[in-house]
Amino acid sequence: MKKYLFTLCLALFGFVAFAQQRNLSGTVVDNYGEPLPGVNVVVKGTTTGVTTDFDGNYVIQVRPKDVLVFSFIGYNTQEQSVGNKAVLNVRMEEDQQVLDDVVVVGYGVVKKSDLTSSISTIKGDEIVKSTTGNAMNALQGKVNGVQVASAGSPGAAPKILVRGVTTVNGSDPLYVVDGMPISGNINFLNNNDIESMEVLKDASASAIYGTRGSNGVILITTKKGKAGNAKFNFSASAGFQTIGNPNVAGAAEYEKVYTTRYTNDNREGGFIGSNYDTDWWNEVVNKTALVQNYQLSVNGGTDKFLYNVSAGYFRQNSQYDYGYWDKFNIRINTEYTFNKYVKAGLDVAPKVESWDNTPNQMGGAMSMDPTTPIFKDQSLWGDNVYSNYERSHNNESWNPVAAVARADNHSRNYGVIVIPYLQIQPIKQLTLRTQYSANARFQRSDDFTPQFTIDSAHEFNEFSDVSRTMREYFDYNWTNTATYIDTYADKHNVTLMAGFTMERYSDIYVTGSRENTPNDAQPLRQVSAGQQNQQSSGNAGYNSLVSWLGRVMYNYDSRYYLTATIRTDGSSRFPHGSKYATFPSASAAWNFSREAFLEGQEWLSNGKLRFGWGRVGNQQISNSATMTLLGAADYVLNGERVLGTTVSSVGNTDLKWETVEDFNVGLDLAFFNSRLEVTADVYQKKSHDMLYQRENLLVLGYPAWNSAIWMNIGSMKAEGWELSFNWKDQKGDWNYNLGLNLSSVRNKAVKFTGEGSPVYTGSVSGVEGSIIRNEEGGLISRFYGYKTDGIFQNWEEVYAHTDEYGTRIQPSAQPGDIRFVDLNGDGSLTEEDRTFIGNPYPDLMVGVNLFVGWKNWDLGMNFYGTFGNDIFNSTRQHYSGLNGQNVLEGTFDKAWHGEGTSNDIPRLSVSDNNRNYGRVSDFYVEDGSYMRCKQIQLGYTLPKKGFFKDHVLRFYLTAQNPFTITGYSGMDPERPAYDGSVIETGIDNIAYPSPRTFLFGLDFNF
Amino acid sequence: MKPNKLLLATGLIAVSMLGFSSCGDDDDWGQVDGLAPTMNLTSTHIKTATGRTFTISGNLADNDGISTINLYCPELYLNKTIDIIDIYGEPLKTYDLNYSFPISAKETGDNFNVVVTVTDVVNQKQTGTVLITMDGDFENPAFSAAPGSEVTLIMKARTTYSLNVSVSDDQALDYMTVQIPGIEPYDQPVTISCNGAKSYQYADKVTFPNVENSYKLFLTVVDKEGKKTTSESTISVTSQVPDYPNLWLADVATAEELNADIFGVPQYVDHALTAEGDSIPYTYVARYYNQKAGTKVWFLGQKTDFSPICYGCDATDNTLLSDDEETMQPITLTEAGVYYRITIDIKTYSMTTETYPISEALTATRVDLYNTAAFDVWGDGGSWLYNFSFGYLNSGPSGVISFAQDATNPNLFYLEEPLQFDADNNLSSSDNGYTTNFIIHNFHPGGWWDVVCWKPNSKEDPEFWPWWGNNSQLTTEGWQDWPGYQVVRSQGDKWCKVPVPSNKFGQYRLWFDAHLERAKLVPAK
Repeated sequence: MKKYLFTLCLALFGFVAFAQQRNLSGTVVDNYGEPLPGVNVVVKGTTTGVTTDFDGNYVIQVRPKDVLVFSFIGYNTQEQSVGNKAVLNVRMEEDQQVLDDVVVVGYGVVKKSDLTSSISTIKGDEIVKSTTGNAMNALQGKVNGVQVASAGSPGAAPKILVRGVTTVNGSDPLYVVDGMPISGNINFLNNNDIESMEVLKDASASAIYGTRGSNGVILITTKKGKAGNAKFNFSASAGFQTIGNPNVAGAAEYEKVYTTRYTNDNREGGFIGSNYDTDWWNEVVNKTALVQNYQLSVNGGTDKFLYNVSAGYFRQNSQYDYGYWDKFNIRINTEYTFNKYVKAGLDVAPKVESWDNTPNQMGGAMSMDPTTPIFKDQSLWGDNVYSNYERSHNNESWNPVAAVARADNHSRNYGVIVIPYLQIQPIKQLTLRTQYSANARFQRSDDFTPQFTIDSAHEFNEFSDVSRTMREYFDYNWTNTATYIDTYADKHNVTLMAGFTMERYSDIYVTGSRENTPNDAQPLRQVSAGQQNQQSSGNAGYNSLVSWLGRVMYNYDSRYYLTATIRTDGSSRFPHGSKYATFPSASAAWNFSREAFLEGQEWLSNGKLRFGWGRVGNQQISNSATMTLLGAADYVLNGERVLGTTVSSVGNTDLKWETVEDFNVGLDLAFFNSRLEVTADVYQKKSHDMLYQRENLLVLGYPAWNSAIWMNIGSMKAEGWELSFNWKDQKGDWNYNLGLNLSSVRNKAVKFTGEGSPVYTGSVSGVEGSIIRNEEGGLISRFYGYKTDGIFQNWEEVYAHTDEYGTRIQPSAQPGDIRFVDLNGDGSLTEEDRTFIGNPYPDLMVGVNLFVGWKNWDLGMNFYGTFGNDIFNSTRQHYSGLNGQNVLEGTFDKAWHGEGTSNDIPRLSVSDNNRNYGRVSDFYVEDGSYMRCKQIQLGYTLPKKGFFKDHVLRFYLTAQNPFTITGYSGMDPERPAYDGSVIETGIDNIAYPSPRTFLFGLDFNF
Repeated sequence: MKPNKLLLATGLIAVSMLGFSSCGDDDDWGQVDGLAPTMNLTSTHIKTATGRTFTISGNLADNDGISTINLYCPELYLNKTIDIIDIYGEPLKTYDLNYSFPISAKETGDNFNVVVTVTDVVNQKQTGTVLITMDGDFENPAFSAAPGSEVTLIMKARTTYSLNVSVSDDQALDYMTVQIPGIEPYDQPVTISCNGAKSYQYADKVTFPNVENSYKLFLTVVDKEGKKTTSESTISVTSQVPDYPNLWLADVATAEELNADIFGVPQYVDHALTAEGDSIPYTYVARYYNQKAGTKVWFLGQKTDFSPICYGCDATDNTLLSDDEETMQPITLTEAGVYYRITIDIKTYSMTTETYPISEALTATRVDLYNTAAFDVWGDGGSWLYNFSFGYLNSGPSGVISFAQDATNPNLFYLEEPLQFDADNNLSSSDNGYTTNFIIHNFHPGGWWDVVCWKPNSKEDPEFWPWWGNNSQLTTEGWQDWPGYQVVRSQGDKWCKVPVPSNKFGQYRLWFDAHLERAKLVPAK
């Protein structure tokens, strides 16, 4: 109403001034040429003004000497002299400074220059440059301190470590999408919907998410509507991916290796020869797999109503004949401003994800006997097509082509996120906001394994097996905040925020299965068709949180900053008396570049020193960890089996929160008009009361089995640093950007149980014992085994490998075997001779980002690498022919076969009496350092003329992971970091590697 | 300064600098006297033997500090350097050398020179040589034939015991003693010289009083190195014939032959059974495949000797049994290529001998398909047929050494090539010495277990080899259990683990009769 009154007054004033004034009209457009409604057009120095209509047009009374001021939120304000013009058209340019400088923090936003914590931001346009199913893949190398390890298979979410590891209870950061904490990963998001991602790396930033902030918090903001005409965007990219061939031996070399293993040991081998030479890798792994991504969106609005609507489809096929993952997303983000006090919004984001589980047959393809044909002779074929495959002639590997043919594991996940919110601003300084978020998913998973008999004693499934699992998830979150922002005496800037949230997560499932369907026909792959062994189960799990939170931000003259947060959480996972915990944080910053002593200089654009401290928590334990549970157990009474129950898990009613205390010191520098930006951080994170399962004390009366109990007894520590440089500049038609990110973190286990017992974990088939030893006070996940000292070249060397009294250290060794080091010098090789032989965590992580633009061309390159990390490479077992498995190409020549022929690969032996391959040793450990070109993208934007004067069309070619510089001999130096928990990582189990992907795409704005 | 003083000063500076530079060498271990180390070896001649370990010992000393000791003998592939500084962190002024080195069991050389070189920190060396010869005596002498621990004598008009003792030693025997307290002339130990021979036999007929009593027999054999071995037996004189738990059937002529095998000779003989399966006292039945006409056999009351309990054929009536060692004759099996069933009653001295043809000799598996492409490799009905064979297995089914099949009797199998049994071949070592380590198993190219298999009834003393196979895994018609054959599985996973002392190392041949389920491992001749 006030606005209309204001317009009426202007009109009356116009009548008065009519004699000296005339009408001026025009159209205001944005930088795409689209009309901009709602732009304020004011005569400078007066209150005379109008706003543009829906088509961007305006009419205003002016005098020749007037200057018009055009202003609109998000655009640079322009001033234009009127002169004698009758028509004045204006093109508004987006204010990049305004857009870029706002950083989303927990429950609010701040200007980047006002940050006191360690927060990294990546914009949506950086994310969409990568065609990937999970936006986190785009962070690799671009956000310092965030370790991203990818698995290449369709739908595999990357493993994320934010500033190392301080707990064994889950390493994933907390994802918060538009203010809603998400349980699990963000596969469901359409990358094109993301406006920005903020990584809250230190506790002073993440403590506001206290309960789950210990692994870092990643805030994701989706695109919102912007006032203006509807702007459409269509983008598409499609291409193919490939993975490397590990090059295993052909039939001739396989036979030579097989028989030589026996003859070297004076044994008869009994090799079953044939004329076949099957290339199992090529039979199992396709040369290419399709990747495609499409997206259509429209964005626009008025001064009242804003909208952003998008639809996207992504699909990635596996490298096998079976296996894919796709998702179809729709997102409708709307906001309506009722008046200057009230606005409300509704975000609705439905999605459908579908996938067939990608088989895991790369190890099988490498092991399978190449002298075996894929199928049995046709004369032996029967009705069951799954039985017509041939079994491996000379080993017990299962036919991998048959395994892929049998694969039938399909899942579909439907979901919708609904986020309504209401925001009231009763006074300029105070904003009250309430938001309810609901995330509902429903998933169906079907598994079927057919009956087949490839080999009745060794490779068969007696009865087909069919199962179906229905799962429902429903999470909600209600967030209420009040934010007060004001400035006193022009220099005292204060922001106060207080809030209350409540969250609940539920997971409900039921599953049923039967065996022995009448046959394998598709219509009969239903549980009801099974004829025996009916099984079913179902359960429901809930957990909830209730929280109070607050934040005070103060800065004096934008020079001295102080931020403090506090959050009190109550979790259903903890018992009465320990349910609630409080997580405080404080941070301070000094922007010394604004001090008087630096006034007038031009080289330093910005300089800020930051200090942060905070406590964050972790509650990643079972919902029922506090409860002692009973489970089914059978007893034998008087010789009869009697059904009964027994304690199945022991609860701890004294459990409390696991907390992480974090210190951070950071320095932000910008030089030469912000062309060079440097950021440095050092930090230490240490967990206390880490939740850890230890064996129960038997004096409590519980039985010895199933008696591990959760206790607050552990502690871990991560210490590290980050350093990043970014240089950007523009020269004529050239503009370029060079970024370098360096970081390092060391992860230590301060204690597990406190009793000093090391935690052994990690194993590989064919290698005895555990590979990894985690000990209290030491770095985590280090490989622990024997050191080697080359290969015995002759008998003299074998006989000389003794202690000082002549005791043979390796009595079974002979020339060609590995010489293991008797570390303790006791004359025998025992477990006491094992030591730490490798660390899977890198000493240094490097990201390099390059961008060059010239006229309409643009070229972007991203590199990511790790240095100093080791990998336990089980691929090296394929030099042994263990159990008759196929070997890597060239093994026959590479393996020791006479003095001087090898000091690395031991002799071929069927018995392996020296346990060359059976021991955990540094024979398997390789330097896993690598530098990978993550992406090269060459783009061309059509010149802005003709139709494209107001529309943007860009084509591009992208290569993802096109090359890797590494000395590692396995398939992928990145994959081992993905597998295993944080204390059991770095073992290469021959899993799906990161593929090379080649794409062609276009991006069309109209 | 005068020229000579100048020269002296220059020389002093130069010497000082040299001194400093020498101190900087050798990890800063300084020189004391610059003399070569001293070496006092315990022995410069060590007698050893193949498969044995010799030890070079001695006292080494050096004032500058011993740095390394090297032992070198290229013929033995010995080139060991003991790095004293590496082991102890510093040089030692004295060191007690005590280095052991095993000689391969396959070593053929007679003597070797091991050069011992001691080097100190200023690179002064001392060298010594130790002669190693292969004539060491390490084995105790052994009784290759001797009375068992229990000997029973049946009283006769003149009760005598034929004492037969055979002894051997790997180097040279000195003497043996025999003592039977209470019996002359052995009431006190009687010493018999062996004259340095490697083997020696002693035989005597000892007369015992016709009174029921027990006597101890003590035997001792001593070699030239003074190593000795003893044996003790209890000789019981009784008037009643005992019902022995079992007898043995011997198809060899001498006590040495009875003891030359690793197992299987003589052949275990059990009681005859009633129709209800009960043992018939004093009555024993033996089954025996006769390869050639005229084979002579005896029934023995002890496993290692023909005396004192030995039953043969009555000299005048070959249907009667006799234990008169003066007159009895061996039981002669006249028909070749048939199985004999011999039943004896040691109380009534009756004996029946009957034969049955090979065609009636049941086996657990289809031996008629042996060495034909009848083996169903995958057990899937015959998609992959392979040559069927079985034999000696000491590692895995893909490493089986297959038997040859007797041309006449398809139930009889043997290894064509004899096997070497010694420390490096076919034997397992443990704290208790060496043992065999095998079963009888089919060959399977993919290494599958327990398809066609026999394992011994006793690991260390196998008398028979029950069927262990698992024909039901196989579906071709050739692989059904033989009709009427009663499958008897031995209990536990028994591999043949018969102890083999080093004096029995040598070449042996394995025989196996699938019908009798008997095997023997006898010297290859």
